[in-house]
Amino acid sequence: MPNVIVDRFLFDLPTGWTCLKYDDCGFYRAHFNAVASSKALDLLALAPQGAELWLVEIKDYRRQRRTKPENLFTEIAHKVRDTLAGLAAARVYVNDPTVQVFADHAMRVGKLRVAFLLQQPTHQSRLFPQIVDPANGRIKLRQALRAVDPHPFLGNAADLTTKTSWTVTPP
Amino acid sequence: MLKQLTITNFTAFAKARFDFSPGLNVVVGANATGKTHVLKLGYMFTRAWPDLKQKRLSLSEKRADAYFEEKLMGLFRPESLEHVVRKGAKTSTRLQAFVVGQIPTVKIYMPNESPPPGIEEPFPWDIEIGLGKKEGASIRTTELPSKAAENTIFPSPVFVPSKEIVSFFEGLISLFETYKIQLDETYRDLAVAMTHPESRQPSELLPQLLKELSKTIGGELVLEEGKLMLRQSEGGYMEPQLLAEGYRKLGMLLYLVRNRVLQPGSTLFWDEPEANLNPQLMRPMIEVLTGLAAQGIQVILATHSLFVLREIEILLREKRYQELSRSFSALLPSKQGVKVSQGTAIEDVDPILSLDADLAQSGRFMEVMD
Repeated sequence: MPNVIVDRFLFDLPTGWTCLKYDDCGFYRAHFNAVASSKALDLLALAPQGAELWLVEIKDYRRQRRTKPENLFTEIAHKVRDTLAGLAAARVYVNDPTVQVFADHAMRVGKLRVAFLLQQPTHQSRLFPQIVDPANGRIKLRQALRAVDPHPFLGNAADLTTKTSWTVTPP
Repeated sequence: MLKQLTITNFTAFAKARFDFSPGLNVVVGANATGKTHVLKLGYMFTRAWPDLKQKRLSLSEKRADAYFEEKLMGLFRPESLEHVVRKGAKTSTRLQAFVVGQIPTVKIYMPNESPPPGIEEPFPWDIEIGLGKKEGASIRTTELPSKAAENTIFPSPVFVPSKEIVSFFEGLISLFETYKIQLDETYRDLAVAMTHPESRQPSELLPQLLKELSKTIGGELVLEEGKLMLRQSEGGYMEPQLLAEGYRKLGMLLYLVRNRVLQPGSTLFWDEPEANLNPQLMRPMIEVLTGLAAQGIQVILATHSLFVLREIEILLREKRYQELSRSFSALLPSKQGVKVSQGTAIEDVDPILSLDADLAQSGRFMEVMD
């Protein structure tokens, strides 16, 4: 069972899944980041037989809140766009065969899925049980990314565990 | 039923086209973006034919000119007609619409049956408001549904303004006839429509939903000697002024359906259904409005409320409404005139300012959290 820690979140994926910490990989850090200051998503996960590719962004509002809620969704849309462009270049990048093979498979999938893992502090206020109301966040995310995934995911680690075959454990 | 509306150089609009679905239509936008204007223009065109044909006179451009001038003045209440022309407009103001009429089909139906739906066909209206150098603005009807057969049916629309009228219903019509008052004509039109329902036979539309609505309010509004009264479920009557404002709105919706003021094929324009309604009452209201849209009454709403949008989204995701046609329009003010974004899902349109305001508020909360 592959597992990976991304931004201190532990992702346990079922057998057959492969993943890439795209934001951390050498191809992006040393090369693609320089292409028009391109941005990167945190995690890419490929389902068995290349059925779908999950594009995952993680924000832990309990620890750091650099991005304001109103800017979150444009930022994610940029990251999704830039990551997809990065994958198109990475599939012919022969210097790192691991990234190349992953990107090649990723570019052949039948479906793209976007997940925004937003972990929020709880019990801050009765009027603000969570900083960002997930229902509103979902509309905004769909607005921003409907061309990539008409039903993107937004929720915390427990929600993501429920919605996928993964087990996601927050720090 | 309204199919299309094109607005050129009118109030805040430079050029905007709206395509409406026969089902549920939602217009969102901040204040002063022209949501109400879109509804009022749609209302004016959908009721032009029934109004003009009421006296069984032949339809001529001249009569239409006079009608539209009077209606625009009554609906928008400008001091003079030229005030509705967009400031700085280089070309003339033009308002165009396609209104769907029903051409009756030949079918013998039993007295207890509703008339069969006719064949639907869109008919055009096109009016121009020109600014004369001496006489001020004048209206010219350049196209009217002249090809529509004499027996084409255009069911009368209903416009529900944002302020409720139940509490001051009595005497409202005569007030309009006696004094020049600042309320626009939608208030009078609604009062007139409520005073003269199409039929005394109560409508059978949405029986379950209406029963629940009546239970919530504690009765039903009825017209008793020109007065609206609440006939209470437990017996007896109560003045509607004693009802909570939200209940008066729900009561009116119930009244409009039960008394067939709203009929399949007609259009219900409702400006800010959320006004003075607490969120608990929004669900039943939106449920009835969506139910009406599914029963063949075109519903066109203008709203600011994120809560209303989300209730609509929840309902439209239900299996029973999968086939219901819908359209969303978002209005954005700009120096070049109000811009329109349209789609069949709420996420297709941008901006949804209430959503952006909600996220901005989350950001302000985040700043004061620690």
